[in-house]
Amino acid sequence: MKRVRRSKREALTGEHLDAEALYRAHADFVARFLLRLGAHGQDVPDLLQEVFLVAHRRGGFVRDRAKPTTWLAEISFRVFSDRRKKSRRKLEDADTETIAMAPSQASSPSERTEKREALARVQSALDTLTPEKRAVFVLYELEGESCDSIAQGLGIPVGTVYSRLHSARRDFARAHDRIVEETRSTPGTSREVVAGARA
Amino acid sequence: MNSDPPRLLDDPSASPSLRADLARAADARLEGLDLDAGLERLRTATRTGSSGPSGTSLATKLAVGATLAAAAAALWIGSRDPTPAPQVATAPAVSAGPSEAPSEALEPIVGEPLRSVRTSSELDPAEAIGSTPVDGGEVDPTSPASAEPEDASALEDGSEPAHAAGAANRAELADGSEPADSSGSAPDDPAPRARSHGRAPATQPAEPSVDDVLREARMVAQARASLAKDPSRALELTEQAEEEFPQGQLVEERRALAIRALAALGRHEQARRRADEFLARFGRGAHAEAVRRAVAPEAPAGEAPAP
Repeated sequence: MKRVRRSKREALTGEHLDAEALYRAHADFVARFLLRLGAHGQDVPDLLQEVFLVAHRRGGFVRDRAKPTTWLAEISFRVFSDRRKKSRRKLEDADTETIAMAPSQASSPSERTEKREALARVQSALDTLTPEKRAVFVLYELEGESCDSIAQGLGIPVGTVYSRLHSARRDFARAHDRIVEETRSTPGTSREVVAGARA
Repeated sequence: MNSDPPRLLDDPSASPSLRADLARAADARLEGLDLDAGLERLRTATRTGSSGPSGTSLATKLAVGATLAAAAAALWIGSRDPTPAPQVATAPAVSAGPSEAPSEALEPIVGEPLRSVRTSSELDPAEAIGSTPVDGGEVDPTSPASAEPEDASALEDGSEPAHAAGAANRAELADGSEPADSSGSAPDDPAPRARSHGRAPATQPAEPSVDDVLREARMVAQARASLAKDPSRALELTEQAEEEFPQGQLVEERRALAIRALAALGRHEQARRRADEFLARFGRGAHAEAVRRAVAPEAPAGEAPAP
């Protein structure tokens, strides 16, 4: 824990962050981002390694480039879309560790269930976006990055960020409405919706 | 930045259920990620010095390409820089080789060739989100080479603490020549270059073959994967690794796994004995905490499988 905190400070002041420092400060962020892009939980540990190895091969993060987070987001996006293209998942290996998003603290089991369902609805709605829009939407709406920093990190004009965000919001809201409707008529299906969307 | 629209989450015109769901999603946390193990794996990958069955792969071609490019650059630059082509050649080989190892190692588990992911995710700009990234130092060794000499020190400073906490398999490398490789991202990094020069002939003969590194990594990965469900299998694998690779690259990790497996099997006495040894040697490493937890008197139920 201590180590993590220290490297966060380094992250703020340092000029250069090598792969390990990046990992300590941002592995969480990258794993979340990969999951929200649609990576399967069992693939996340490997994808995560891949992302930081690419960061390593690029010589680490240098301060004049965007922010470490959005810089890593760009690498994550590449690694993820590449993996998705190149390979088809084999049957799941039950032994592999699985990473998932879990609700923050809940005071009761029912609240926890409700929160889980909310996460499932959000993920299902995200899954309907194109990968490009999804990346921008996640970074802006869920990670709180600014449009500028997203533009720099992803290497696209800020105008493109705005337009992707705009249409991502529209798509997301539509999908979300639909999912809410569906789960209202048949309660308990939100998880299946997610599973279906990812299959 | 000022012109950023309000986030949907804060946008009163968005539907309340949408905002509520987004708020929960933004608030969610990650579950199940073993950050320490990942860090250790990353370290191993970024510092193992051999080049692999990937020998014929793109990585090697890149290294060769880098050598040629560097040689050309050396011709251009003339004799100003007394540390020419070979350095650049060393660096990419060093940084490319190891990354193959863990990826390959995990194939049986994940079932997917990460190798291909790696190469194209770096080399296929068409996949970018429409970006023009500052890509791979290995592809273009010339531009970084002249660019950022001060990075070298920053890089080393940054990675020094990591070494201190590092694994035993690096103990033999602690003569000061190793940081070059381990921090070793940048082929553009003058200091590591100079050092890796002197190092190569000395350590190469002792270095394990890539096959061994891969097999060991695979074994350890399998052990890690079976720890929760089948600790006796995990133990068996770590012991097999211990036998086959006494000088292996993943000594620290596999021993930690063995201890956790013993604890999970209820063999506490043995676990504690090994833990003492382990902590004496790797007490500050990435696995120390897990080992302490595993042998703590009031070991949490999570460590042991349900009887």
